[in-house]
Amino acid sequence: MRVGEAVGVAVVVGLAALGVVLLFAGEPSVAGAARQERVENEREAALLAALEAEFGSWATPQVPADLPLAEPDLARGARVWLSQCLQCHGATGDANTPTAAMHKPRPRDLRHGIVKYKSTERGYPPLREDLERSVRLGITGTGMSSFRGLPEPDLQAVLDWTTYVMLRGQTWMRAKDALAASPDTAPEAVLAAELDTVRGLWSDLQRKVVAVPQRPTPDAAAVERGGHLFRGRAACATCHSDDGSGLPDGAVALPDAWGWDVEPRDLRGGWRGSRDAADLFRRVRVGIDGTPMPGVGDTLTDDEAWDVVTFLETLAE
Amino acid sequence: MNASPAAITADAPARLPWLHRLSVASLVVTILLTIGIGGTITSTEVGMAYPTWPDINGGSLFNIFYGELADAFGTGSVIEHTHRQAGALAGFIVLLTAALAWLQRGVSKRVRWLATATLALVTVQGLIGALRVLENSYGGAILHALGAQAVVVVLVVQVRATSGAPRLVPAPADDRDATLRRWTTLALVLLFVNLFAAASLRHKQGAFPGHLVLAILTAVVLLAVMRLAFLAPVRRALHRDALRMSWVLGTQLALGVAAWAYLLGPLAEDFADEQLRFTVQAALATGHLLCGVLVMAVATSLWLEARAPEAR
Repeated sequence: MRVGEAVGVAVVVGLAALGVVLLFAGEPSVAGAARQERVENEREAALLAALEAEFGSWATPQVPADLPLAEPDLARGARVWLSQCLQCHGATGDANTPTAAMHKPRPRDLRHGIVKYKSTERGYPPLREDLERSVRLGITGTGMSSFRGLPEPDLQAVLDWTTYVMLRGQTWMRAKDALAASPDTAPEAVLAAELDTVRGLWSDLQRKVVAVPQRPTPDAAAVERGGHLFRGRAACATCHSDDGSGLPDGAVALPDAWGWDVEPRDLRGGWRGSRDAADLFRRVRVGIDGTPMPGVGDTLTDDEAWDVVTFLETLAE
Repeated sequence: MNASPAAITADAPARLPWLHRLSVASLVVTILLTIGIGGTITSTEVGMAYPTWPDINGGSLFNIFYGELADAFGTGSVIEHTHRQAGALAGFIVLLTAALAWLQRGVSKRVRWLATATLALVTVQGLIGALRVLENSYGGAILHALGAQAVVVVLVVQVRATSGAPRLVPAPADDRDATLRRWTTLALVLLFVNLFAAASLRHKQGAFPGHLVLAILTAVVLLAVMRLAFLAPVRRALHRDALRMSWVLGTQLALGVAAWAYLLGPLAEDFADEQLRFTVQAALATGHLLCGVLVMAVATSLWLEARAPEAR
């Protein structure tokens, strides 16, 4: 090899090494999406200014006082969100992205503060543990896959960011609705009132956890009793059919809280989310938040609700 | 010592028509279907539309009722599903090729082991795809992208090996020949390094400046290779590949600039309609990927022809 050629090869190798260094030296590049709440008039613009006074801008986020986020790592969480969550859940958590439209069920619009799979009462936000379980394990039967491979600090940070997105989004969505309903109230006052409501919803969530009593022995008799309740007093068959196969002939799908039509599950193929018996008990007891699936409430005793759970487990087998 | 044309003819391997056809079919299916749809998956970010493997949320890989699939799991799942089917089709053809290579008489050991190595590589590539899904791993996704182009390289070698083209000559004829050989090797290595950068960028694990430096560097080295190829004594296949490279490289650079402008550059926000932005970005990114595969295929062919004895 001639000297000139050897120099040429050395220059190429050196520049290639520089390229690799540059590849990992900076922040990963992400095709941008607008990170800004949409406003349609001056009052909403004033409302947004009030929101940003409390929550900061998306670039410089902050958490208002008395919200359940102690020392969050928002900068790290936002970075993880951009690389792992953005394409489905959107920059502002609205899940209004072209990729989200290619998924069924749609990825969750987190701005309502509602998630389906959680341990708290209907109408209340999830515990951090509920969110963590969905992120760590994924949600069976949906495009929400497991992120157990994330380094622990990244996972905790993205939970911080997810909570921030939910708190900010819920405040914004509630305030926008309230602003439209109260044309004479100042936007700042509307936002302050709705932020107080959100504080109330998110405070002391442990007291809102649906209690799961001791499970009786799941035997054949329990399956039979559960099936009887499923088709009778619990009224599950009204939507899921007598054999659990889903929407009966002639029935129509109902919209969920996000405006999408949802069909009752074909329970013979299992169900979405956790397969844990305690979680299934909670779903039987209080329903699935944000969906037309109601709970049995006080219609059934604890033992009877467990019988329905036992029947459902058998059905899915 | 240079071989005479008569010696070349006597040394030329037999053309293996069916093995050659199957190899070409594998290459076409791999590039147009498997990688084309795979690239679309990454561009539209629906790789995790159903995070199960090999089943589709309990369904079969061979399900062709795409409408029902879309109704149940969304259009993203159809794209992911057809990618897996295309991969399975490519794998089946490669399996058939390997079986035929061992069953047919008169096939050299070299071709038999080459077909077997291709089968092994395709199998590993499928398993990396599974790992990517089951572990939701971006590292796995980047490895899967590299593996896809490694499959293309091996298939290009196989296409040539079954075509009856003269065998490669171990030693270079002269200094210029040796230089060409070295720079085609360097170009191939650089293409893989740049591919790693591009895959890292697409999976949001790398920064754009790294890909930019490597892309420019690779283009310059490929231009140097083209120049060396055109300056070489009359070797038709080599000149033909250099000419092909000029076309695909030019197209690739143009697509690269457009992809940057619309994904990360000044035109990224230049859309009133979000769906249109998404479609344009996905089309450009996928086109850039596919053209990159063609660059890799032609560079492999150049690497081979730089070692061919033709018309010495």
